Amino acid sequence: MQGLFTILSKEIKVALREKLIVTLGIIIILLLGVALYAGYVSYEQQQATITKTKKEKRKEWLNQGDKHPHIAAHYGTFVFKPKTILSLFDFGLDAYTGTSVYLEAHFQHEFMFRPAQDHSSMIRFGELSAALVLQILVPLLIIFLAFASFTLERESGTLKLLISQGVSFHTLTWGKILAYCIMLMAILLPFLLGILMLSITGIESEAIPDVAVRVLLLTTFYGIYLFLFISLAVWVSLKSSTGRNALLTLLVCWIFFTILMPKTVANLSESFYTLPSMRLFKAQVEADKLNGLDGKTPRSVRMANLERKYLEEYQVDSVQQLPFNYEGVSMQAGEEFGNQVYDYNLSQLRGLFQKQNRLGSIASLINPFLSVQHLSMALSGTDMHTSIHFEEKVEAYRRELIRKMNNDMAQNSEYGEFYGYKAGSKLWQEIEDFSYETPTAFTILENYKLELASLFLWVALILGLISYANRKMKPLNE
Amino acid sequence: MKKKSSYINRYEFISLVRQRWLQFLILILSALVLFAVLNGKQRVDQRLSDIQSAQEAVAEKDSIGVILLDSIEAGFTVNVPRWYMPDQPNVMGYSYLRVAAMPPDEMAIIATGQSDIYTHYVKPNMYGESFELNYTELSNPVQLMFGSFDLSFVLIYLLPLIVIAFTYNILSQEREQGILQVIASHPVSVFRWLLQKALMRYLLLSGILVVLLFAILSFAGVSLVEDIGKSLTFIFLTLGYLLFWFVLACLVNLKGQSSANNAVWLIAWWIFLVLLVPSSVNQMANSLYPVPSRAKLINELRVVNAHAEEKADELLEGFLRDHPELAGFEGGSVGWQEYFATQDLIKSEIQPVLDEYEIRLKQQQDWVDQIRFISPALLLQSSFNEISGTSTRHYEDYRQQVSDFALVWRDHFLPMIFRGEKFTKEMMPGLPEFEYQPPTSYRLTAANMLALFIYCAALFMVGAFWSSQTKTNLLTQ
Repeated sequence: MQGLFTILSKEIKVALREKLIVTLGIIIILLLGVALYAGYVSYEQQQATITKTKKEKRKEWLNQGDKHPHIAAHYGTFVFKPKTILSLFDFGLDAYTGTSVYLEAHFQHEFMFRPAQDHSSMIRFGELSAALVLQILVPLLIIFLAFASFTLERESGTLKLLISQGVSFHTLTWGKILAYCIMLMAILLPFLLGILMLSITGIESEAIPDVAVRVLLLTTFYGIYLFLFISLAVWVSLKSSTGRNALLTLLVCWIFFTILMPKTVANLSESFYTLPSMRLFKAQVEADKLNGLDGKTPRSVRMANLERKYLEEYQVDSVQQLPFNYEGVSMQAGEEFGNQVYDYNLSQLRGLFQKQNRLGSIASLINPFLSVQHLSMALSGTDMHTSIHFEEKVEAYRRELIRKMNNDMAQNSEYGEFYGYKAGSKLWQEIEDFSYETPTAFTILENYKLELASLFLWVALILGLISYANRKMKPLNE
Repeated sequence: MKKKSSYINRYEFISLVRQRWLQFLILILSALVLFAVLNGKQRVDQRLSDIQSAQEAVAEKDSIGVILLDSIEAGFTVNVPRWYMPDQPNVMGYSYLRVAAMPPDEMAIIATGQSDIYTHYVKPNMYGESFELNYTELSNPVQLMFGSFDLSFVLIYLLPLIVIAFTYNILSQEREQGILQVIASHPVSVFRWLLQKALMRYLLLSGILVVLLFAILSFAGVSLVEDIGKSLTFIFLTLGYLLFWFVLACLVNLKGQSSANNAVWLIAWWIFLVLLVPSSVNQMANSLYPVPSRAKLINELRVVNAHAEEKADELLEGFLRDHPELAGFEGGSVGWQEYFATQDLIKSEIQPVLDEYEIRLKQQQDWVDQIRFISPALLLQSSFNEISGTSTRHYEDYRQQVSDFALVWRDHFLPMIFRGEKFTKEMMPGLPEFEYQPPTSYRLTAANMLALFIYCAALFMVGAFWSSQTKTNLLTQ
């Protein structure tokens, strides 16, 4: 044990003497601070806009005056996707998913206007988020810190000295790994405290119910990820003959994992499963609405069937004799059919998305960067699944809103008096304001089993490799 | 002297071949460029076929329209509801639309830019407002985040890494093997000798790259001789960027540290210039010049809309005052006049919001444009997007052109509607057509090229200065 601590403190002393390491450490602390601050500023900006617009929209809806419910249904309203407090840490897909949607009768308006459209083209270089620093830059710092951990001892001959004094490879390796872990913790501590404070203070207005659990999980996953890199770097150094070789091996791994592979996988999955264009998708929805999902039941036939059904059920000769306004009923039937068509087409499309993303999940089994990235977005509420969950909630809200409007029309108006009947603020108030809460952390993590498995497999692999190497090492013969 | 340098070059070449460096270089570069170009080609082909199928659909609809018009003009009754009758100008203006397409540029394969976010054709009709048109393309947000593996990615991100791998030990290795001392004992300066070595490698890599780019791009159907100006710009920019990384690598080598240290420093520079600076610039642009969301714009439009409908009657008077040519035709519809009068009002009321949006976006663009000089990666990306016609600016411009066309389209039918005239078969060929005019951007790319070479020259000077200062250091360290 004594040996472990001696090695540990020696490693820290050596690292502190290295100008480059200290500089990089300071740069990373600064970057994390800047990224977090910038994230906070844009979070505040967007949150303020969203809250303001949301209030305005609600007021507008309530004060729209007396009008026919169906006109109100067309007048519709806007819904905005709330930013989660953790999105200031990991922007995730926020720039690329739509942020607002217009709710209206008959149409499922897809989420419009990706924020990335409102930026200069340089947005495609990515944005500097704290998550990016942790996922890409800190591993690089680890590589610079640890690539020479064994090779330097070997090249300068101290390794032989150490072993001859009875220090085991086991003690040596773990002493070094622990030293790097402690240094990294020291670098990341202010940042950890910062994010903890932000998430505690920002909770009141939150769309995320369990920020504390999420922060805890995030810390754990990033901890594992960085530990992986430290162990990998030490292992590579242990196995390499020269520092140069160790460095080059590690850099190639790093470039492959963080730069090359994610993009390649994303592009391959796009080529394997091609998406239809927006216009084609919409045209298909319209065609299905017109001719039925089977392509053989046009609207006129559907309407005639519906009319016959009601006339038979109520034993009357014409729709005018029904005890309610048949227009409301037919309107709602049309709405429901439209929903069915849209659900069908959307599920096809989401199926494609899912297949594309599935490849990324599978790839994460061999790439811990991908798994930590996916998990980080998931826990920050900026991933695909949260986005889809939000879209589903919005669509359910829209359907309920339209249903209420159509029901009111059926109950309270006469057949053919489209301009005569007007509903008032009482009906508008019956529609509750839309509010959104993300699923809990554990629910969302159920979609990321492969990523979780990947992290643990990697830890097992690295521990296995290190313990195997420790047992097999014979420094004195070299 | 000449003889000596040719010796150095020959030795250098042979040792590169022996170390399998050249073979490795050619293999890896070909694989990367090929994959990127095929990706780009798939995207461009998809775009072309989307536009083409839209145009075919329009042609088909037109031919049905002509048949209907034929029957109507011959006095037959046609089995079409009134709101589908093509002899009504408003029906023509609403359903017989033209495709306003933005076809890909000849060089679009190079940089995906923003092309994966936007649709490349819309069909503006005479109702509503053109800025309401939604240009969002269906795409998987995950793919958008990772971005496209296109040629610009290979050249901007990966090429410097290849250069680093090729040069990080160009001088340090010689020192580590003790060759440097031998060289220094000859009447040739270390700086000069390094220069020769680096130049040799630079020319070699440039040659391979240019040949590969020509071969693979022509294989993908892109002719680099068609628009020779653009092709040359593209090649010069790439070579300039390559030169920048070579000069930087030499400079790091001149610092006289170990090979491993050189690699660390070069990777640190790469991270800084290719990853950190661009993403920080983005972040700052968003914080400094936040662009109001388009959703807000649409929202305000709806408020104005509701307001305008309420006072449509008063509006009509004012509208006819502004457009006396449209007033007083017998048979013209007052309903239509009211409608378009409201539209005009909406437009003038929404204009400030629209302007704010445009101004903010432009401010952000301008800021990024100015600051792009701080990283060669930004310079190159902005040039590539310009050359490919896929920058945000191009899409803004396209939106504007569509907007103008929507007005032309509306104004084509408006007088007919107001006068209560019928649309006839003869008018069919006279319908306005949209043709996309790509904006020219030679100044931007020229400035970028100049900046890139200034960068190289400045670094070169620093190198020359250093080597004159640290001659002894280089040998002994």
